[in-house]
Amino acid sequence: MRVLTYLAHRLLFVIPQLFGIILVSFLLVKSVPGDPAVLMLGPTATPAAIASLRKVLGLDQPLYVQFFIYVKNLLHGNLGTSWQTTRPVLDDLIQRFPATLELVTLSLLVAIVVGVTLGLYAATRPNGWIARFADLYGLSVGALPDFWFALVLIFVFYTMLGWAPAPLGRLDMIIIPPPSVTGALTIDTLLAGDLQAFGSGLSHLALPVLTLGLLNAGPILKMTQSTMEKMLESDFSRYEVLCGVPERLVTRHALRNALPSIVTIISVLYGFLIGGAVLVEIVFSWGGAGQYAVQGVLNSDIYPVLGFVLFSAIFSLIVYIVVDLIYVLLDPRISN
Amino acid sequence: MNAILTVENLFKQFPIAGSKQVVQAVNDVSFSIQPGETLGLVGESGSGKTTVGRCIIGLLEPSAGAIYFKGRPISGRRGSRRDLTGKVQFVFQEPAESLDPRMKIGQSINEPLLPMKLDRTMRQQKTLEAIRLVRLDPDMLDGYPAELSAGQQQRVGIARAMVTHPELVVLDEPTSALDPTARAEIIDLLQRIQAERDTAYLFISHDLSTVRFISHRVAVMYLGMIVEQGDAQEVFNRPHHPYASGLLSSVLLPHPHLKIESSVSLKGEIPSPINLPKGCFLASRCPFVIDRCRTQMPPMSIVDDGHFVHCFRHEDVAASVPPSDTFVAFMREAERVLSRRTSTDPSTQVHSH
Amino acid sequence: MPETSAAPLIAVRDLRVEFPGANASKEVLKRVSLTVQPGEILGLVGESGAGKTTLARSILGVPPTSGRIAAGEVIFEGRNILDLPEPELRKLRGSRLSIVVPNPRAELNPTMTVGKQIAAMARIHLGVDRAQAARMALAMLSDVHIPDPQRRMNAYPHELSGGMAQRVVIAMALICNPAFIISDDATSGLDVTVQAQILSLLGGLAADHGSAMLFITRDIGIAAHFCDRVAVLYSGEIMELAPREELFLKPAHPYTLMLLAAFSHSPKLRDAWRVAETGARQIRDGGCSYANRCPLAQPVCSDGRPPFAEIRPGHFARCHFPVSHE
Repeated sequence: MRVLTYLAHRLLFVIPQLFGIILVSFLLVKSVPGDPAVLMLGPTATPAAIASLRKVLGLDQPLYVQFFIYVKNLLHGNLGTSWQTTRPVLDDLIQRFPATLELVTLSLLVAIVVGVTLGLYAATRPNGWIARFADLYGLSVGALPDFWFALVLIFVFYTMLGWAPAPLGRLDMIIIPPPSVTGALTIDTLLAGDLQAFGSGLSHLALPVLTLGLLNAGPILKMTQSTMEKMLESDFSRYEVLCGVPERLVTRHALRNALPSIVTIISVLYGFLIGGAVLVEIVFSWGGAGQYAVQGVLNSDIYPVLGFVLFSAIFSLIVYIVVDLIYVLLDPRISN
Repeated sequence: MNAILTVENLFKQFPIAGSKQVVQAVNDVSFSIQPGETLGLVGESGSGKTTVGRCIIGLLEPSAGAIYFKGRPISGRRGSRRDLTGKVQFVFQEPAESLDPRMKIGQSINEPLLPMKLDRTMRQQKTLEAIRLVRLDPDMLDGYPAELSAGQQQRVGIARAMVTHPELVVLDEPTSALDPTARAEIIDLLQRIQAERDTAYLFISHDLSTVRFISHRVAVMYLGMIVEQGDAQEVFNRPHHPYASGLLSSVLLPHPHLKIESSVSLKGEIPSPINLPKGCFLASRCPFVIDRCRTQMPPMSIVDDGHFVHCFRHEDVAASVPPSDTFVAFMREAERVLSRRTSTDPSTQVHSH
Repeated sequence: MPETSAAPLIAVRDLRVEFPGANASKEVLKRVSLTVQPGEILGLVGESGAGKTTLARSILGVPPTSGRIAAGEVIFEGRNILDLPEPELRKLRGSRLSIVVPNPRAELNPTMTVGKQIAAMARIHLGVDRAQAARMALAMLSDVHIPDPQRRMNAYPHELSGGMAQRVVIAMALICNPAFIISDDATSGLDVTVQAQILSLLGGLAADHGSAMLFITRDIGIAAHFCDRVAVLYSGEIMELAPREELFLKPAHPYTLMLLAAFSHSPKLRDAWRVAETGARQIRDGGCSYANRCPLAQPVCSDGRPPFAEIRPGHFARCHFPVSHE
């Protein structure tokens, strides 16, 4: 019951939060130098042509009018049109966002498995070799740029060993993509019963997922390790030891208390990676949303950028609400 | 004689977040303190004694009732604390927490002087005076709290309270966090200061033996009410309220044969101050309870000059056990046992100190 | 350590516990020895910093964080439990040897109901199933006189008052019927009326179960009424050990006398036994650790550690010049 009331509470706040995000993003995007009309018409355009194009695009209006028009369109489901792809931004994003989401979700799963497992081991056996390895791992992984790591993996597994497919998108060229239901290839291919496509999709996912997964396991590992160490040193863990509770149970209870912190960092990573995976997307020609947004920024194509911000904002808000719900479930002290 | 402090029908309630209920922390408390006198305010958790202290010192505003300092109101709309600067001071329970760990001792002691608009020399002089008063080395003024023991930190807390030469000091459990040896030193210090400066104390504590020896008068609180009030020796030797009697019976003196006799042994927990029962607050736990107690709050009965109690059956309570000054009996026993200090080793001489 | 006629239930021998210090390690417990007879309540009084909690936890092989058991034995049921491998030791803890800790709300798991935590003890040590453990936990909660035990089973530690949480911890310590209970300052911070109830509860349950107890406290008043024999701990050493009446009516060690003087509030005694409060007590190696505060100290006190001598039958004091009461 307290879960439902909490949920209702949070959902109420989502609208003003979104509004604030859109407003700030709009202003930020508008303040980036670069005139879309100039870029669209090219360097040979005449001032008159530019001026008339600006009028058509509504760029001569005051900022608050432009904002008002934008929000009005949003409420009708119109996120604007990208002048690069010449398609509605909404359609572009519906196609690209799931690709990023699939990549990021699978990567995060890998990161969680690797990070939490290593972190647990390092915390419970602080003098073992895993702890030392974990320290090194955490250090180095923070220093490695993701695109570089991706290139290294490509070089090793594709160029040298030939195990991985070419880094050219999500499927082999010859495979026909399945009908799009969710946008995630792993799911859609299974739904369509196309196992060959499934295998192809999986093999293309391998390297980028490994890249993002292994690199982002670092912060998760560190957080797990430090929080678990604190929990194992805490009064209640030591009391359990005094009561003769066996070690694996003490660890389990400590983990339960450590989860809120670990879940927090996972949720932060999740939100970050939606945009943060862009370099990896570019290396693997993934056709994801991050790539799309970056192109928008570079070409002053504001609608894709704003659309991307909106999508990822909604996504992050959902993630945070889910995370907060998990807290409420985990910790009985939070509820009132 | 003009009382230093008068509290009249004090009430304090705290609203509970997200609910219409309130915590009734203080319920109709009245007492007064004469100059140079120590009033001990005793009670357990939920008794409201700390809240009373904070209302007096101005950290909390009463919900109802009035507080007067030397006849002038200092609480509520009519009250003003402007002329009070430095005249009423506070000593906290946890010395380590009440001293800013990043401030030098000298700075901490100096703090209450700041609103008094004295020049620097005057302030330094008073600070020096204060640290000497508590028998600490003036060199410590440049040190930090972490370098001191708990007992020494509490002395600094007292120095800080005394630096403005207050007329009334409210002490909230000043010795509860201390070891017995430090406790004895602090009590000794407080009594010496009172003798020298005629400072009045409101001594809030749950430690009955300490209260017995430092207080002239005592008020016993239960769930925000003063259930019995009077001369400390009288109340402790022969309590008239069942709660006071029960409280005393829980005190364990360090003597295997001495126990405070009482007909009351309190069972159960203290009820919640959120839903106070109708009638007497102790009715659910009281061995002397009669039907009337559950429906009517006992009015104040006068036992003696300055000795008041809120109980329908206070005479029965007083009569149930013969009066005895067990605390003093213990003190005499201790003096008898501990005065001999010769050694059993025949090769040494008898020492005198 | 003197042998009494009956074999002790548990014997601590020359226990030494160190903590890392700035330059060298600091000895918090210096060769502590004591025995507890079956069914006996041995009191241990000391001020803060004396090493009470270190001793309580080290007996069970779990010294406080960063502490290390440097030497010594704890003989229980014929073997030195400090030599046992950790999993073996965990089987003993909570079932045969248990501890009642102070500040229970800080020590209980905040995300588990108290009912589950009590039941867990039965499940882990007695191997009973979940339903049986829950029944036992409920029965235990009634035994410790918690009001409304059924409802409290599902409460979380932060929802309980200090007194109730203390009862929960007692329930956890007793549910497996241990032979030996260590009560570490179990009543500190409790209201005095609640303390009285907890003491009578502990004593009663210990007697019912036939358990022996090491009752550690800062309040010597409790020791005077609750314990059979009393030991006085100062700076990691036992300074005096005697049956209750002997200790309080004929105290021998100057530190014990000073403690009693402090509790008596007597102005006369205060001057006689006044001790200068020093900021940092200099710990002198090789001498009596009380020498720098003792009003009876002589030069020899700084040179040699006084032996733990039997000054009267059953009454021991670690002092070169114990006070006589003849």
